[in-house]
Amino acid sequence: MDRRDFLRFGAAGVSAAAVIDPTDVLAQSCTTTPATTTPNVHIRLAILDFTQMLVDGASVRMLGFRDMGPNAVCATNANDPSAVCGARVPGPILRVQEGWTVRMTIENTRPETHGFEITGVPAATTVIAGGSSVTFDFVAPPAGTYIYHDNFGGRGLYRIMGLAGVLISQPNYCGVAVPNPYGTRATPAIQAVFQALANPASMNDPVILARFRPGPWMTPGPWLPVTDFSQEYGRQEKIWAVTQVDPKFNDLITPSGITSSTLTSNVCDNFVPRYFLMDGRSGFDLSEGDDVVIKNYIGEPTLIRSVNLGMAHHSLHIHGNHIFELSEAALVSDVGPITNGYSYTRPSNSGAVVLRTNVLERDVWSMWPMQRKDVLLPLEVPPDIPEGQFAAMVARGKSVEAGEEYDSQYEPFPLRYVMHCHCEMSQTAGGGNYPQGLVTHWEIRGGRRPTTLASL
Amino acid sequence: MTHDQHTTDTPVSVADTNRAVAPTAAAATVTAAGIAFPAAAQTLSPKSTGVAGPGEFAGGVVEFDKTAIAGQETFLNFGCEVAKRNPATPDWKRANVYFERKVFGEKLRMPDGVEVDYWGFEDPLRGNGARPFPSPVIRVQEGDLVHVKLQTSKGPHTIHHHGIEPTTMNDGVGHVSMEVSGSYIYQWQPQHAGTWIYHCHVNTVLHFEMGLYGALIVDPAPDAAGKIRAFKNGPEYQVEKLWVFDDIDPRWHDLEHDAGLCGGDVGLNIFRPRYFFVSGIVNTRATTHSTVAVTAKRTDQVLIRMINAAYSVMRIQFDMDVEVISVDGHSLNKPWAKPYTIPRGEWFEMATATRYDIIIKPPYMARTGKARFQFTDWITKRVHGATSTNRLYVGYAETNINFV
Repeated sequence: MDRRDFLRFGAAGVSAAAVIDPTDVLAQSCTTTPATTTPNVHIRLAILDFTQMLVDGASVRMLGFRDMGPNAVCATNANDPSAVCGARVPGPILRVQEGWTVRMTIENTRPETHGFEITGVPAATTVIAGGSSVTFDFVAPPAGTYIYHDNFGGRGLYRIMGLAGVLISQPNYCGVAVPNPYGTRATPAIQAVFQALANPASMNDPVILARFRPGPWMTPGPWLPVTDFSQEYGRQEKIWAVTQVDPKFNDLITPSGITSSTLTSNVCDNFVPRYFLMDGRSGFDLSEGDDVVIKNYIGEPTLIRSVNLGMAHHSLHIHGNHIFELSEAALVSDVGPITNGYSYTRPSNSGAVVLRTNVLERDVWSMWPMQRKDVLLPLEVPPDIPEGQFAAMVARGKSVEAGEEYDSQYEPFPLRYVMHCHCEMSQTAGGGNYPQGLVTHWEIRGGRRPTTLASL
Repeated sequence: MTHDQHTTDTPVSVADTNRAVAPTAAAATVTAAGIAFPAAAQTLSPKSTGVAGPGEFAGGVVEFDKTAIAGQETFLNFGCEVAKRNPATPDWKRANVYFERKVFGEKLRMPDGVEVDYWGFEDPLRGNGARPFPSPVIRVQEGDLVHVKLQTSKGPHTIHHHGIEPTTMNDGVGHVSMEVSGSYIYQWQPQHAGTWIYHCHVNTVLHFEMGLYGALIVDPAPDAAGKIRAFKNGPEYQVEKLWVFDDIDPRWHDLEHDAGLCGGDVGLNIFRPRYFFVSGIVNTRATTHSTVAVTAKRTDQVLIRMINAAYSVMRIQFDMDVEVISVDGHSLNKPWAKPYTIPRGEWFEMATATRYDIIIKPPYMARTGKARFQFTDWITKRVHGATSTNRLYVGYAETNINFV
């Protein structure tokens, strides 16, 4: 192992590119209509190359998007101090509101031509010649999770080199009694999930009351959205964007262009991924970081926007709680030939977000390349802990982080659970090194959040 | 070729001095260490594959700082040097159903004569020496207080009861708790009837492939008429099948227990399966083999529990309409989730580790037919071995469904 050192690499500089005046979205007025003559937000991105260090110490050349906005955080890339400021894979989170007019400027600092598109948003498609820049406007799509990426050439080559990221469209929450990620568009099934989590007793349904065991630590709570467009993620909202790296493709990236190779004629058949990343890191490096790791209390359901920006299928498996699968989206041309994966609704051929009319609770969710799925982790008491044990844990109040004595016949908080891909080849790095691949954690820190703890 | 880590010699244990003394009488309620023992919750389900509790005692004090529960997480102990312990079970409760699972190594002989090493869990209590592939089913009832004792072999292992959601110590993931080098008793109390898996979570990429897994079924309590349904107030069934899909890449089966764990390229990112199974039956024999094929009366409802234990993405098709009643152990009887029909002839997918419980209902006119299974690649989406002229090496199986 030639790993550089054993320090944990953190997230690269994190900021939302769509920075506007921070606005509390829950305080929005229903009467405010988005301006149509001037853009609501101007997003500026650059395409550039940089070097990224991987979990086992190997380095690869990447292509990436960089936030060029006025409020961009130009932190040193934590994965490589020599890297270009602000470049990252996946690219910066773009957070907008449905119906906004979004102006986008993309500067291509590379010599070769690149493309840009947002799946499901045909107006947001362009081509940028080497060394030039393009500006265009589009209307932000219906609330949900979207992928922006470079599909120039149609084979996903630049995407697996790193040119992909996530755009989040939020609803206007006005008139929505119980917040959900889709506002008034939410299906009755999705509304029922959020209502049941916020207040199960209000459902007056013995099935629900049996589903969530009664008692002070069994009652879930409401989901709270990210209220500030300048935040990439929130306490109850994480973005899990998975990528894979096959270094032989990255080796084609040179300062003067992309080396001609027979590999690129059929990227998919030649793709043998050796590194499996989420939000730009893997394994040990992925086990901490507020952008990824959920550290919440009971009753703080957390939205996970999962997207697969790579070229291999993933079977994401979470321990500790099942998730509610709220929505999915993909282009059949990207994902196909896809069969009916989960429900009786097939993916939309337009790439639009399909809101589930039947919300399944799962511990595994399937992610084909270019698929997006929003899932909700309820933060309920893990249901198979023996009766009474969790309440006793809360009553004892023992937490590892409090620095208390650890020799005990009772288990302390936090309860820590993994999320990993069960297509286990993805648990490797460089052909071995289990579990330095696509694995992270989430934590239940206790029964209820102490009121003295500040929010994120 | 070696699997000497997995002989069934006397296990090597880390000395463990912290276990409390077992209560001598089953009715004991509190030990000297102050551990409360609730009375046994319920009697064994008639379908249980365990034995009546309480079984072996392993409560006591745990040195959490010598596990990942309270130890400092480092790059080395995340993967290469995971804590290997043999601790007591914290928050000990008296079990009403008890299992043991002991790791073994064995060889599977394929129809082409090739012998492939595999590892599994055997059942020392009720297994009569059998070493089935896949490992024996753990079958319990909702509300059971379950203890599962893992007995390792030379190398460390764990049991993760996949989809069952207990505390971290009982979840079987080494790098957030500990790997077991000897024995540990896992404690959980299932709340949801359905279909699950149990498997080893050490070097999982390899150990799951090597065969260290089995099905886990949670039944509801019998209804007022004494019938055991698919879940409480759920469908009745007269015929039950368990279809567990698996695929084997023989190259992987020559690897060592800890292959790649501390560095080195052992090719565990590349999976090219050559043999394909449904519930341990090789593809060429699955069509009519009674373990897989369904034979039912025309008045029967058939429950099929499907588990994808392969690293292939499974594509499945039935010649008759089937109703999905439960997914990943959660029944579709909620305001947000209803049962739904997969129409005859439609292919649907199961990602690795997914479970679907489906029902085939009467009437069965013209519903005798087949179910078909394709094992497809996670990148190319193609059926594995599709170009092979030997059906054995093609990632395809089918089985008969007959109503007589």
